Amino acid sequence: MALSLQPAGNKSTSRELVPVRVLVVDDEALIRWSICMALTAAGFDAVSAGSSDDACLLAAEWPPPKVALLDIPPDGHGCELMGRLRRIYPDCRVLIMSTTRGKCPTLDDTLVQMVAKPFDLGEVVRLVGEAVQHGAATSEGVRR
Amino acid sequence: MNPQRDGLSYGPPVTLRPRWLRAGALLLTGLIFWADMITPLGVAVPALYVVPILLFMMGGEYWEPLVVANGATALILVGFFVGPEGGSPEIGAVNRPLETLIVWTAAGVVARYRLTLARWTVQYHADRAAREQSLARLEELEQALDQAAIVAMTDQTGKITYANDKFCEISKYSREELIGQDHRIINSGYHPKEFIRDLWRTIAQGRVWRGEIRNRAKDGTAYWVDTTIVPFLDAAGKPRQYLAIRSDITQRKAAEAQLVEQSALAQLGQLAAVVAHEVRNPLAGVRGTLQILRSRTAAAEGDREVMDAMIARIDVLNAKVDDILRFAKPRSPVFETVDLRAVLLDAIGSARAAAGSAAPDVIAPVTSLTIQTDREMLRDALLNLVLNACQAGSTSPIEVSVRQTPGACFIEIADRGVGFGDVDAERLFEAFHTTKKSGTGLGLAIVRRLISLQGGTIELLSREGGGAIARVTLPLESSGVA
Repeated sequence: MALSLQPAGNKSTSRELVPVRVLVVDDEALIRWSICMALTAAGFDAVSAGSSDDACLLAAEWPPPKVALLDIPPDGHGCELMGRLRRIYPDCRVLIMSTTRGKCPTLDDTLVQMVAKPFDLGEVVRLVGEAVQHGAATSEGVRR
Repeated sequence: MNPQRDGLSYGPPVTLRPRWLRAGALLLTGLIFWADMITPLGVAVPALYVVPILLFMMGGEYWEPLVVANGATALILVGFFVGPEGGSPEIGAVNRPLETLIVWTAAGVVARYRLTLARWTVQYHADRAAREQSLARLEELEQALDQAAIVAMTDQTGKITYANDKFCEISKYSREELIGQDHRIINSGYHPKEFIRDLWRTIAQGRVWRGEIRNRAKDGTAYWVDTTIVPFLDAAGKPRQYLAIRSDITQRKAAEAQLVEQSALAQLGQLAAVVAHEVRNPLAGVRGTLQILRSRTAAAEGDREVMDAMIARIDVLNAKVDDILRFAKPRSPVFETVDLRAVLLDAIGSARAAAGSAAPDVIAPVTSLTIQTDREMLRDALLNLVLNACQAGSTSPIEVSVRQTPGACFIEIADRGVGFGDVDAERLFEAFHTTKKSGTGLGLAIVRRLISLQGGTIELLSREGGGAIARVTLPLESSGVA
């Protein structure tokens, strides 16, 4: 239950000049705020948006997000945003925050993970850290 | 048929064969004529002609006394003219018409009697035939009713005085066990007291009551009957006995309940999904914010404990939402080959851990049985049942057993707790029905849902000597004992 604020994304940030950017998209302000606080405390560059349009504008800024935490409501609207993000940044890892399961057609994508609401912030930070590390490992493999 | 036994006040009297009567009458008439021939005029011998006429009181046709009277009249006349010398002809001339009048009066009375008797006899036989026909029809109706319906008769106090085979069959009580008892013996406790009061009020007022009743058989299983209770009234208009005619509608009620449940579940599922989102989303925000605020609060201030408690409450609330979703919108089962014993041991271990240190011992089955089932669903269901048994209020060991028949396997979890008393076991499976202070009342409803999704059934039975037995029946396909 206790939230650990130890930096989790520092492995990748040490290799780059800028911290890893994580995009948080949710229409619930408290969720955006709390996740951003937790990720920032963990050494990530967390930015947040309350809508798909704002999220696209943020995603267009530099640096591009390595990980996106997206809210997928039961109507599945978030899937569209995920598709747009994945077209622009194919390597972007996506963590879906959802109150239900199995709605998004691309949920079986290996780059997409699921986290059920309400979640433990420590768990979210851990999953983001894992996604960043996994992404870095994959990129190195590709470069070799 | 004995007329007195049948309640009839009349019947055929003592009779003689007509042949003997006629011979007797002829002989007597001859004798009387002979006596008249040897007796001087003035002696009232011809009055004796009434004797052969009266003989026909004992039989014969109604007209036969009249024939005798005719003959006697002729003989009286003959006797007057050809009788012996002497006597008193004057007196004879007066007596003979009087004697003829007596003879004809007697003949008229006897003829009327015979005629009336003949009519009564015809009526008697007609009544008897009709009565026998009615009895035969009643017997046929009774047979048909016994074949078609569950029939019971009770006295005015409600004690059972008659129970047909079907009643015994459905209630699983013998006739001897039912006779003398009142219908509380099959009361399931399902209906509210007002329902039963209305029934008794109606029939006690001499009116017919119709309705559908859920009863409980001797083995604890429930059955539904469509019931008509007809009161039979005494002369004062008070019920002296009641006839209850019932038909088994258990299957229909089950189908109706299933339809209603499916419809309700579909609606609840839709509602729950929306509500779950609307609840979980802010819960996630509040929980996360609390975690951030907690991390910024100094450990010594004591506010952290409050925040931890708040987060714990949020997790409990979320667990309840999970329960509602699992009940209303469960996933489809994924069947795989599973070692039932391993699943049971897993469920027992988790249940005992959840019940804490006060959990009683659990005697687990030793037989391994391989079945096709959804492992996670079955584990959840069994965990819930074992946890219920652990929380049943007894320190006696819980006995978990497994047995199989060619088509099914049975898992029984038996405890020595408080049981469920007079509460209808079916009620315990209803959603939001709970006997615990805390709880959503969805535990057993979810268990039933999980089991039924796998084609199985669950029932709760009272255990002899106290406690309860939860029996899960799962269909067996491609399974075998290892």
